[in-house]
Amino acid sequence: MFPAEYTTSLQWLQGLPLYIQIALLVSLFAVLTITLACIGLLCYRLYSAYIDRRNNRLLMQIDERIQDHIIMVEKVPLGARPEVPSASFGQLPLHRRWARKLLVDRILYYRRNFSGHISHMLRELYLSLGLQRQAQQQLHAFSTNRKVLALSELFHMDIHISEDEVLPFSQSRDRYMREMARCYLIKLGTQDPFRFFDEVKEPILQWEQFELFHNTAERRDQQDLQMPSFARWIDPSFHPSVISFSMKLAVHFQQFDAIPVILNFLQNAVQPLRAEAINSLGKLMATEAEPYLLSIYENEDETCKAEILKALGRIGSGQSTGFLEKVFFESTSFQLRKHSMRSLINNKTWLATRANQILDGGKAEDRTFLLYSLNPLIKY
Amino acid sequence: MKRILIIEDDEMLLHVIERILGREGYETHIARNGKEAIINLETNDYDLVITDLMLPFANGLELINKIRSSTQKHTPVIILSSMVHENTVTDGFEIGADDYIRKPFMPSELLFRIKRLINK
Repeated sequence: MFPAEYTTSLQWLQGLPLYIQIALLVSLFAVLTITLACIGLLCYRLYSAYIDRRNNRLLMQIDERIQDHIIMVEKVPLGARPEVPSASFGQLPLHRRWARKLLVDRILYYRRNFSGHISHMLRELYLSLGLQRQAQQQLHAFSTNRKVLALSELFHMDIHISEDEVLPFSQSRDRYMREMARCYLIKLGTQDPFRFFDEVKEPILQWEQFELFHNTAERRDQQDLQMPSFARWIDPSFHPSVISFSMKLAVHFQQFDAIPVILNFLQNAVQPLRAEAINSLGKLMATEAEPYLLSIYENEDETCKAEILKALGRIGSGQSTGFLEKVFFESTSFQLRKHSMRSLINNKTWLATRANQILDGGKAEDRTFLLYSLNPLIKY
Repeated sequence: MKRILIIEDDEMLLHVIERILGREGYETHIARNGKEAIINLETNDYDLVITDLMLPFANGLELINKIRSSTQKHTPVIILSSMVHENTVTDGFEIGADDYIRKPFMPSELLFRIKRLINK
């Protein structure tokens, strides 16, 4: 099988003790592995350097074109259509997928930093080069990560696609997919963008609520959508996180028609929902809620009690000052005393009469509470 | 020629702003982090400073504080930042910034604000 001289060498190896044979084989294996690893590493580095050089060269061309033809262009007169420099970008190797991806990333980067006509022209450029097609195709990819990235691209570029196509993603098992789809629907949805609330099965997390809230506020500023009545989702048949978020939205958009449905939640068995309902009623300054809040106070836990005290202060009708004073002077809880005092000082009449009495002749502890509550820098 | 210091850690944005201001006839100096900014401020006098808030080594608010306690305490400062939190904006003004521009921004708006502050 082997040539004669090798056979002689192998015979020499066979003559050695077994452990020497094994050691030699292990050494040979180690040397070969290290050599292969080094060659692999070298190839990888050479390839990475080539990719970096290639990408940097293209990025320079992209930056040059974007800056020369879009950013440095004088402001477009109002009403005039900006001239999109697609011919200049057509010279780039956009038939390559990597080149298109680099251009899209760069467009997104510039849109993150510049607004107004620059942002508009970048979007026009994106559309004129047909760069949205790749993202639209990726929405049907098998990988969830690709779908999220594609939807994120369309979201940031304000590209409208069918809401029926996006709606199923809003109930995806992947939370990034869900979040992105919900943000997309709120930002770009035209027919009832909040309808995904109907189907929510997993909780809308605090962070997600923050993002959705931000997009909702931006959408309101665009004034292209009539905000729905969020009272629709303040119903026990919906997920608790949807109810809680809808209460926050109803408060933000000052939807007073939500007050009666929020009042129903004062009897709800879920404590965080009760606390949110009390908080919302206070922020909506629902004077009609005051007797209910007073009636449930004694049977509530400390969190809800604190919320009731805050709500009474926000409503500020002046009818609960006696109750608030009672809590302040009789309660032993620091939190309750603090909140009752903060609510009392919201009442100007009380502040003008009773506050001075406490400052002049009250107990030291009461004075401390009052001075603490009068400090505008301490938020509550 | 009016001299402006641009403090921004995003290299690309830094050069774009530099180009925009250069075209308008301003002399621009650049700093990529707090350390470079301090060196620039110690060695040159500026008619205006544009600074980001999130910077390596010393943040924008620290830099404004430094400017306000230096010989250049009357130099107008514009904050150019993507931080939109109410407290951040008010902190910026409290510490002595003259203007606050949020990213994404319009270059034309930046230029108008620069002109207004320089001519004041």
